[in-house]
Amino acid sequence: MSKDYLGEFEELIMLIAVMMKDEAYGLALCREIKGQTGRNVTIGAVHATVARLEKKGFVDTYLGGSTNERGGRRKRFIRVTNLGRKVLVKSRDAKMSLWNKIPELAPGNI
Amino acid sequence: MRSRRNRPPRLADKILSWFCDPDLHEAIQGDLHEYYNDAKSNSWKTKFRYWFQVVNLLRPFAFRDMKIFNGRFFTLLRFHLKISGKTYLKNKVLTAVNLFGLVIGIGVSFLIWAFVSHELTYDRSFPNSERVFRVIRNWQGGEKFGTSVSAPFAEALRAEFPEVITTTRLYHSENNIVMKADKVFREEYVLAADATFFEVFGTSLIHGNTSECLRSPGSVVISESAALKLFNESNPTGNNIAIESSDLGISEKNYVITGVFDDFSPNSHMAPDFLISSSSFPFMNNPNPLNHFLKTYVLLQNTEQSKQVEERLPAFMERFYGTDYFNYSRSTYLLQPLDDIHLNSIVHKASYESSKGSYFAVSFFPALAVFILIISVINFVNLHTSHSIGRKKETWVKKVNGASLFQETGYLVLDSVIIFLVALFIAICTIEFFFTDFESFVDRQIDRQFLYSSQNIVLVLSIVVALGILSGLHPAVMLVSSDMLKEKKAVTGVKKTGVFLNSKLIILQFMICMFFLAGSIFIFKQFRYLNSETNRGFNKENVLLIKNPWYLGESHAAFKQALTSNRNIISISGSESVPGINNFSTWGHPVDSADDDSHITVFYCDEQYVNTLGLKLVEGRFFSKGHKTDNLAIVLNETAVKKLGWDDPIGKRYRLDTVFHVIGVIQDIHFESLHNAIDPMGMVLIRPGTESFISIRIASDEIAKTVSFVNDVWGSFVANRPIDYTFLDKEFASWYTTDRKMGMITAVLSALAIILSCLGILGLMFYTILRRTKEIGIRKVFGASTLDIHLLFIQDTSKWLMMAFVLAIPFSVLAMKKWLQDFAYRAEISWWIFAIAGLAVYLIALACILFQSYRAAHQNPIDSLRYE
Repeated sequence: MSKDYLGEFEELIMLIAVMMKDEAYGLALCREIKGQTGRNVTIGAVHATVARLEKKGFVDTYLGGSTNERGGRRKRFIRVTNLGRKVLVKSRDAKMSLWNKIPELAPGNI
Repeated sequence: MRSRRNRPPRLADKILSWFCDPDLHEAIQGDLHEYYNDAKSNSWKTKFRYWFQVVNLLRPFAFRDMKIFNGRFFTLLRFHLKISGKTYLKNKVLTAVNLFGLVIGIGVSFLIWAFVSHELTYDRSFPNSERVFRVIRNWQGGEKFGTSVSAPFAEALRAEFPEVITTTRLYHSENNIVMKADKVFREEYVLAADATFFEVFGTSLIHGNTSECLRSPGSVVISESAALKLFNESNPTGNNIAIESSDLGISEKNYVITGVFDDFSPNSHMAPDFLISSSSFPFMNNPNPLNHFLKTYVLLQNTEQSKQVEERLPAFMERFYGTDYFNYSRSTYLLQPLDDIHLNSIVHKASYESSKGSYFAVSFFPALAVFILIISVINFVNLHTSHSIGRKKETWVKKVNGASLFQETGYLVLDSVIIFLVALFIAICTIEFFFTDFESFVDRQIDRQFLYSSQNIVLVLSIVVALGILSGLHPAVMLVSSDMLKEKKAVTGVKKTGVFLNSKLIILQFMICMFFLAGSIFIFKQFRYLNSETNRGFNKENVLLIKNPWYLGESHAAFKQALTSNRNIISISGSESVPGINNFSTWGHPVDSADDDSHITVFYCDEQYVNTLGLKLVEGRFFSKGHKTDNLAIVLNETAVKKLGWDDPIGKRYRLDTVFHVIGVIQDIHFESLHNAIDPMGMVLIRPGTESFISIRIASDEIAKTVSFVNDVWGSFVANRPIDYTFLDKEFASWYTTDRKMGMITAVLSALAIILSCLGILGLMFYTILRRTKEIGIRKVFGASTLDIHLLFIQDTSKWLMMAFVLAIPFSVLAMKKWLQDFAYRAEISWWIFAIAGLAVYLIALACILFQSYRAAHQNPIDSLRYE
């Protein structure tokens, strides 16, 4: 179903958001993506993707408490919903089954 | 805590809060600030990255909900623009052709406008520009004015006129060598200037004291670029440089740098790099009031006073020079406004003026720009009209559904405005790409800051938008008002109104084409004439010219002797003046005449002059070594003989400092460009060693080898001073560079005009044929041949072209006459120029028509009639 479809970047953000638990907000995601994959992504790209995921119902966002280091502005935290978790698992399973059918790309063969 | 200075760019934040959805704004802004603080620096790089992040947020998800855009008006507009975009993309060729025409029209006009506005703003950058005047004078009531006046003049002027605040005098030295420790530079722009220089022009110094820097002897003020070139730093004040200049009569003399000034703006008439204090040179105080050699500038209290001063000048002159000389010289002295210097053609271009503009170019080029723009706009109207026909059904559907006619017209006009703006954008991008080439072509450095200043941008944008509205109006109104019932149902004939306006536009377009083409042909003709005219009387090919022979000093004769050993060198001559470079110094008058009017200009040359330059003797003989008395002999040119009214000139007497006998007459040659008439001239024998030029005639087959031989010989006589040489024919060509460029521009523009007009006529034919498809079908059914159909269209167009031809002639003749006024020698404006131009344009247009009517004539009537 097209509704369950996950883009590569969407998947990356959701995975990192699950990993970071309650610490996942816009800039933190940027940093983590840089740390994990070395990719430079803009704040705009992350927020745009989160907005899209929220529309699809894969993530929820909520505002945190006020903070000191950013002039009192609150952070918008991201929590992956149950539907989101299911979609992630589904996406992994689909890929795993594909991978398993390609022996040429198995770790020992490259 | 963030320090006050270390904060992200405010403007970026403002923009963000303007477009960003309020629900998201707080979190995003917070993320951005945190991001900024992460960098822990305040450099421009961090700021740039911050801006990049903000711009990157311009995505639909982040936009606030703009309710106004969801109204009926904007929904319809969005819909319209979408459809427009699609139809433009569908007609790719038509759209591309249309854009191409507009880009050329707008681009050419923009470039010409950049050039003209540069020319018109010359010398406006001096703070005092409106109050500074240059003293100019003519000689014996002559037409042209010179710029040199004598040394004591300035001081006398100051004492006489209370209106004059102060004056400054300049002496230009062209050939200079500047030495700094071990480094040697050739410099072309050294001025000896009075201490009041900066006071008069009102410019200030970067380093040094404006009123003191040029006061004491031995001080020099240099431009910033010279400072960077010599010292690699912008403040070398207090350092020494040595200057050598033959014009100023100094060799390796030391000067102290007392100041540094900002380089003069590229559109100033002078561009000095070194200003030496005038007190360093005793000759700047030469008390002789008749020795005219200094440029004098005057600072008045206000602009209007120049007229009052000029009125009282003659009386002052009479006292200053004494009545005798005043009556004899019949000179008029005038005050030339500073901003008049660049474009005024009455005043001779002085050597220190960087370039000379022309009023003709400045008034003629805008006309060309307007013409090209008109052509491309007409083009647009025609092509856009044929494009609009494709959108008839769309408009009808909208009308049936109750669209407001006014609004619909507005939308269609908006289309054309958008196309114009896109064309402007493409044009400016293209121009930026070629801008340096353009600058070197027109030989100017154009000030980009001025060109892209906000007021200019607003001006250009409003012109382009206005043009877009004007030219979009006709197709839009035609489309919206087209009556669908009549056109769908009734078997109408040809609807005339639409075609009528367009065919008038075509007449205008082809008129301009013929104007351009006739102009190019004529300019070409004038050049051929000038070329044949300059070649009369002497042979300018293969003459090498040494321009700095004074370095030879005592070894002049030995140098010439060494050269004669080479068999490729035919003859060598030293002289004070050569054709192409004027350097006259003496005037005289005939002994047996009381008429003061019959003065001629005289210069010095040696015995070989006639042979070397290939002059032709008409009467008598030239100087020769065998005649001992030749140092009191004079040779005249034909014009001089005519002016003096001598039937048998040989043996007549002429007075310079002493009495000279006429021994020969040479055929007239052009010593100056053909913009000027031939002057009456005479030649007398030069004292060896005082030559300003050495001319060497070389056999034509081994030029390169001989030049290097001359170079070697020079090197063996003069150490450390490079030879400065040129070829005579090159000097000649340099006179006409402006004219040649003008010819090139006109030729290029006429090619563009013709291409654009062809595009226009193709579009118009496309449109006409489309309208008359059924008519053609019916004609064919009733037995019209292919030729008949072709003739149908050719007849129409021939009518327009004839009209264009007749209308173009008077304008062309007028423009040509105006252009010729600048030349003393003029080619004839012959009828065949117009015949060729008219015929060429007609044939080209005919080809375009046939190309289109071919399709119409060969289509099967079934296709065009079967809808009924």
